[in-house]
Amino acid sequence: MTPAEGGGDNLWKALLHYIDWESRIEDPSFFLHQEGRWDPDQELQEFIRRLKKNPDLQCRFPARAYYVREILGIYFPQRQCDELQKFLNAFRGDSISIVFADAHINSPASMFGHTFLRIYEEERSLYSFIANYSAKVERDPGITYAIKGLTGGYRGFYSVAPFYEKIREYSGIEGRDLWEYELIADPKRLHLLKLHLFELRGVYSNYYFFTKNCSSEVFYLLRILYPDSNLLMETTWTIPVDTIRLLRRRGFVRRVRFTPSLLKELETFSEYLSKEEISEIKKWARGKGSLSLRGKALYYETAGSYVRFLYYRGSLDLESYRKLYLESLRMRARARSERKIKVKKTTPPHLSHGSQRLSIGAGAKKVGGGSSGIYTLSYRPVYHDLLDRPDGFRKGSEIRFSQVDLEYLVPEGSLLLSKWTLIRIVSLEPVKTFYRPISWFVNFGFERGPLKRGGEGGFLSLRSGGGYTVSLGGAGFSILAEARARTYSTESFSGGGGLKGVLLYQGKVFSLLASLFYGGFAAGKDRGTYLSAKTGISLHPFRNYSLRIEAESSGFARQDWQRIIGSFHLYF
Amino acid sequence: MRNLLIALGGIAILTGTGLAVNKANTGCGLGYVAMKDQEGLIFEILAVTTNGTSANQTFGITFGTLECEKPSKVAVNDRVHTFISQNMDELAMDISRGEGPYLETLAVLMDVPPEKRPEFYRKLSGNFDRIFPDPSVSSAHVAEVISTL
Repeated sequence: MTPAEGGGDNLWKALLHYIDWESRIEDPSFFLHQEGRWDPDQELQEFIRRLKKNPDLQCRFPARAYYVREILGIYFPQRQCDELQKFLNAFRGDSISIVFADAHINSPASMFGHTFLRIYEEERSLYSFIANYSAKVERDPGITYAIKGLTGGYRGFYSVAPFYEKIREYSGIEGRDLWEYELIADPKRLHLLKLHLFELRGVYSNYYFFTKNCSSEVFYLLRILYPDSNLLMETTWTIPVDTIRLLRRRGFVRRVRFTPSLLKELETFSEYLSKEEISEIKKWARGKGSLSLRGKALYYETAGSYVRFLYYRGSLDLESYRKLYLESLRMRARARSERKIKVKKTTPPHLSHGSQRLSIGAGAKKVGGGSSGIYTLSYRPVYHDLLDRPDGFRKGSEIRFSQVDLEYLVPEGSLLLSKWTLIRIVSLEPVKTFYRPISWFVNFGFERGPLKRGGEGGFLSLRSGGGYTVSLGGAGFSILAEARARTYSTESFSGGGGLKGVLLYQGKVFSLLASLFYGGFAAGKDRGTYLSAKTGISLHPFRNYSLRIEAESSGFARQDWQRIIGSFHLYF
Repeated sequence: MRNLLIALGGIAILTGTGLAVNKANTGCGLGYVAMKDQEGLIFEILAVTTNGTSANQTFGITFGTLECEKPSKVAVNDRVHTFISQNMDELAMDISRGEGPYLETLAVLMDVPPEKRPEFYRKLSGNFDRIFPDPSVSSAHVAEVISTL
């Protein structure tokens, strides 16, 4: 058995989704040999044996059959596979790209973005197909949903769908920009990948949010295109943008293309319209007025896109939508075309800062009467906070998992866990011309703060809030109502809430964040008013380094707690 | 002034036909695409850990035009009709402005050579009212008119 075409062993393993001598696919129907999931050689022998006995097996596993015939040069009778032929007839094209859909406003599940593969004949043709991997979820209550998603409680499936369907779903309905990275691929390998996608119909594998997610499973499919390059993530978890960076580093990416979302297009158009025009469009869409007859092409296009957007969101019924949409388009067809307005390209996701972060810092802390110097060390596996360099991320969004902050106190010489942020998600999306998103955040983890009886304590803390953000100049100003619960021992639970104001500026070179919280704990053990002010300035002219100064001052039931830290951050 | 009159006429026709929308014929026209379920904000917020979908996973590659009535008069290629029926709203926008990716895709599917495409786009745009005569227009009608232009 000498490989005739290269690839050999590695290609076979890629077809069975082996990584480290175990297949990532759990579905037993995917293997013919009992030990197939763990033993690729036995699986190969078993496949060849069965294929010779029953050549129809090539219609179920066409990629494996291709491998046996073309790579190993083993003969078996050929069969006509009708279903496969239909599949291949539709799935045309010998170009491939990996598409990155950025974060969906307000949906944390999508905050890391999403990736899928697209195979096409002509780049500009939307009539092409994509391959996607996603979990099949049930309508579980929120927390069950989260736990199942993290622990493999859902099954993931590969699917194939028309590209235009995904454009409508992501770009039209969910307001996500699309970045398409064209990949270098050998046509024979690409054909094999198509055959393999056919094999994956209905095959399940267990879905894990961090380690076996949409992005990792799509990424590992590319091992079929590049069997000998040992594509492997450097972290146990897989963040979508990291798969793209890795493909770029290996030289597999040819070029990048950007498709803005419908929402971004609407916002861009609205910048070229007057206030009166915008309010006319809004009134008309509510059925309380008509469009101006002297409008520019852009005016009617905006009106059309706006009602489509409303219809997608369920704010317009079909009948009114059809009538309004067609009305605006008829008027558009009669208007004179003008200079085309292009949506401004933002930084592509692969040029964002690295998704892991290591930080060191120094400063001082004052608790009640006593103060000490501190050195800090922090590690964050994923992903981005409001003071990190914003390029390549959705502005006003933050997502962190399991960030650990340590502090070393001098002269005491003690080492403390100052914070362990298990999960923190923030979305401060400003209210837009045509859309009013909610701003909200949730924070859960261990943290330190002032105790009512004096001194400092460590708490398990849950905080969450919601409100609105408005844009003022280049900055965002948010008002949020916040609920808090915390506990430092089994019988010290306390709950409360308050109001929070946040000022955020995210620039190219520096960012600024200031917040003020006023409220208190009204229920439980530790009651009292709580006032806290935080401010941070970050200097981030370079992609993977930043400097920041953060100060925090809290008062709880007349106990003071202050902290100021200067820190250096390295992203990788 | 002429434009104004045409536009007024258009509005008059629109309001007239708007009242007479045939409710039975809601498929295969504008707004045909499935609307996303409004999952509700709470559901979305708590959906922290799964970039999933509750939709049935399909291998929608050999999808037909399903319940859509097929164009009758002229031979319209299946791919063309599928594309039109699944993207009618976006295509209508592109036809009205005489450019855009949906119009380009249509040109590709109809084998319009690149040098003839600007002319093709202009022709479609100029016939917007014939292609989309009323709000309940069906994809079969759109496909038929486009192929006879």
